[in-house]
Order: sequence, then C-alpha cells, then structure tokens
Amino acid sequence: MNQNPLLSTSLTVAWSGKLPVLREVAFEMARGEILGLAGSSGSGKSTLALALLNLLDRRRATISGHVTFENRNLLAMAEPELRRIRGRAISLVLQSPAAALNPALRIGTQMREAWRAHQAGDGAEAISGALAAVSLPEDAQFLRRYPAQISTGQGQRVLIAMAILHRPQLLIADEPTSALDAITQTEVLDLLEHCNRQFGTAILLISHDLGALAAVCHRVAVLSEGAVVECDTVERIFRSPAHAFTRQLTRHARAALEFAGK
Amino acid sequence: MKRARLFAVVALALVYAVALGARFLAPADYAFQFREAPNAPPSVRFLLGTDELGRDRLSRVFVAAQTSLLLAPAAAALSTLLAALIGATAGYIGGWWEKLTMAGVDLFLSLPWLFLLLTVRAVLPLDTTPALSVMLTFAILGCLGWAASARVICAGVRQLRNSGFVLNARALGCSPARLLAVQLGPNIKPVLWAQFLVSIPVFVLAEANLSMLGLGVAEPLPSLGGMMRELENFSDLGSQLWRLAPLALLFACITAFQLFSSSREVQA
Repeated sequence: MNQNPLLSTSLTVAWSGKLPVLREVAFEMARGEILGLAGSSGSGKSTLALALLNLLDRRRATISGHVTFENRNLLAMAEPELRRIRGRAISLVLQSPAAALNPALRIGTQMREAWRAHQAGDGAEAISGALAAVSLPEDAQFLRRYPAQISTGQGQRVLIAMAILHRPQLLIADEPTSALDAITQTEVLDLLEHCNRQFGTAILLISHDLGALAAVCHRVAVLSEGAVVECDTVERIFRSPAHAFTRQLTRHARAALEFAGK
Repeated sequence: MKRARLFAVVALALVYAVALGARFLAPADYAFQFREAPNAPPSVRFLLGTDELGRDRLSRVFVAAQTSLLLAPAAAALSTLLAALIGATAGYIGGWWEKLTMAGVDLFLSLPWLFLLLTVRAVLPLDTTPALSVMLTFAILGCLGWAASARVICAGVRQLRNSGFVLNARALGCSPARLLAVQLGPNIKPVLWAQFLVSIPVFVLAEANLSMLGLGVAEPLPSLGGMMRELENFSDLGSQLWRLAPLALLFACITAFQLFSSSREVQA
C-alpha cells in the first residue's frame, strides 16, 4: 500500500512445542497513522505487542518472519541495538498501570529512569513536558508519590508520559483503556489522538473494544485465531465487513455507533 | 511482639555499647596475667573471677563481645552481598545459568557446614597474629555463608523477573544492570535486610564453634567461642557458675538477634 512504510510485519509466534499463537500476521503502518488492532481475548494481541519489540522470552517462544521498522528487521537485531530502539523509536504502553509501574519507586524516579535509558542528565524539562502533554501535574509533590498513591487513570497517563518521553515514531498501546472507567477511557483515547497530532507519533492501538478503535483509528486490522483476517479503513470495516468474524465483532459496536449518530 | 522487639533492641544496644567501649570499660588488660591469682573466684577486684592464667574474665568478656559482635555483622554483610550478586543474577538471567547456580548452591548446602568451615580454616595458616586470625575467621564465614540466602534472593528475583514493571522497564530500553540495581533492588531490599539479620547470630555461633575447636580467633585475643574452651574442664563447674559468663552473653545476644530479626520479618 505504501512506498516506504514505517512498520511492516509478517510474524509467526509459537510457544515451545505448541501450535502457533500468531500465524503470519502481516500488516503495514504508515508514518503518523493510527492503526487499530481488534480481536477477542486470547487471539494473541498482547503476544503480538511484545513480539513487535522482540520482548518475548526467546527461550519459550519461537518467532519467525520479520518486523521491519524503518527498513531494519528488529527480529534479527542484537539486544544492545534493540535496547536503543525500545522506548526511544518505538515505545509500548502496557495494559495495567498497577502492574507496569514499579511499586517501590516514586513516579519521579521512574520517569527519570525512562529518561536515562537513552539520554544523559535528569531530563527534568522533558519529563515535565511529557507530564503536561498527558494533563498530569508536574509539581514535585506529584513526582514524589508512589504508584499506590495515584489513581489507575493517573497511572495509565504516567505510562503514556513515559512512552512519549523520547518522542517515539511509533507507540504501541496494548489495551490502554481496559482497566479504566468509561470517562477515563475517553480521556486516554483523546490523549493518544492528541499525541498523534502534536508529535506525529504513529500509534498501534490494540483493543477488544471496537467502539474505542472506531473513535480514533484511521484503519483497523482484525485479528482472529492468530491471523489478520481483514485490514481496512474504519469506514469499510464497519459498513461492509468482509470476514464472518469481523461481522460478528462489529455487530454490537455498529449498533452503539449508530445510536450515537456516527 | 512489639515488647519482645523493644527488649531485644535495648539488650543489643547495651551489649554493643559495652562492645564498642570495651577497651575503656574493661577494668584490666584482657591479656594481662595476674600470676598471683589464677582461677580466682569473683571478688571486688575481679568481678567475674580470673581464668587459669590469671586473666580478668570480665575484661575478656567485654573484648570478646567486641570481636564477635562487630565482626559477625561485617561477615553477614559480606555474605549477603555475595548472596545478592549470585542470587539476583541467577534469578534474573534464569534458564541454564540459574540451574547451574542453584546446583552449586545445593552442593554448598548439602556439605556439612561445620566440616567445610573446619577444612577451609585448617588449610589456611593457623600461626598468624590474633588480629589476622579474627579477620580470616570472619572472612571465611562471610564467603561460605551465602548459599542459603542466595537461594531466597534468587527465588525473589525470579518472581519479579516476569512482573509487569520489569517488562515495562525493558520496553523503555533500560539496560539489565540498571534494571537489577534500580528497578529490582528496592523490591528485594526487605529480603536482603532479613537475610542480613538472620545471618548475624549464625555467624556469631559459627565463630564460637570454630574458636572452641581452636581454629578461630587466636590467643590471647578473646572471642565468645574461644572463652568457652574453658568449659571443656567440667570439674567444679557447678560451684563456679561465673565461668559460664561468655555462654550466658552468647545466649542473650543470639536470643536478642532472633527476636529482633523475626519481628523485622513480620514487618517486612
């Protein structure tokens, strides 16, 4: 579709000795694009998110195929080189802030660690910039708090702030709204859209919630039983789904969207 | 529990105050032999009597407390550090490296500890200066005592290795060294602290065992174990209970350490 895509993949992942979880999952992403990845629970969405950054435990998972980011295959890269890409060119927002934030470290320390992973100094300016971008307080008092002392919504914002700290070209968000209530969900989605517009960050938004994907994505890929069965614009996925699984998936979301007048 | 801990803290503080100020508090030089008064019973001059060479027992107990109670924590710190390095890397790297390390730990743990200590100590020179013998004894204890702690720390790190925040830190591009030191360190600190506290009484006892067998701290420097060699002579022990002073102090210190460390564990 694109002359020079930001990311293109063809991935097969199997946990040792079992049937593949992902079977030749192929899709492309353009610069600055928001691509949604829909699929039911257990369809391999989170495995895909980790496999894209080559974060799966290679002792347990067999990965084949390629993940080409800016014309370089991440799966063939050595660990030190991968570390320079993770968090700087491609970053990941995990599902649950309760698990992804270190309970023993203050928010400020965790932000600083995220900064020091790629750049020298304490990055105070960049950190307050990132916190402002996700509408979190930038004062010292907030930075001194521990993850247990902030709300889940704030925790998710902190994760996003860490992820956008180095202005990555691609942000992978794995179910970033599933732990949140409806209002906070909308806020986080708005936030991702805002990052996309302000910094031109391409976003791979992984979710089981088609309504959420329809609200912010340019295109949606549908993952079923470990393979991408359909990948098209939001419009076409909803208006004329080609695959039976997509039809099943869109049925309820469509009703909701029609009700909302979209 | 709280009262027991308070008691333990007060007792330890008292013993440490005496241990630190031993050279000033001791009524006599620990090595000076009052030739005219060997095996003296307690008196105003010798509060706990003298040993068979006529040395003041109270002064020797003070200095022994200093030797045992200052170097045991040092040895515990050394062994906890070794355990942290070995256990944390094994737990973090996992796979065959973890299996290999844990096999080494099992081997270490399956060897009779005292026998191992005796062997290693016997291989090293015994005709050294007292000061060197003390250092040597506790360095051996520190170097040999890491295995059990390493297993506990390895298990702790293995559990954390698969946690969400380690995955998040890896996704942010943190290096393994920083991950271990900054992300995992604070999370295993309570475990390290508990291991450190639990090791102290073990090392005090181990030194006592070694010294009782003459393989520990060399004469004339006293240690709690070395002083208990006097007890090998059972005769008249019943009528000379003051000879049990070092044993009583050892017992009190171990109990206090146990009370202190177990209550810390409850807290952590």
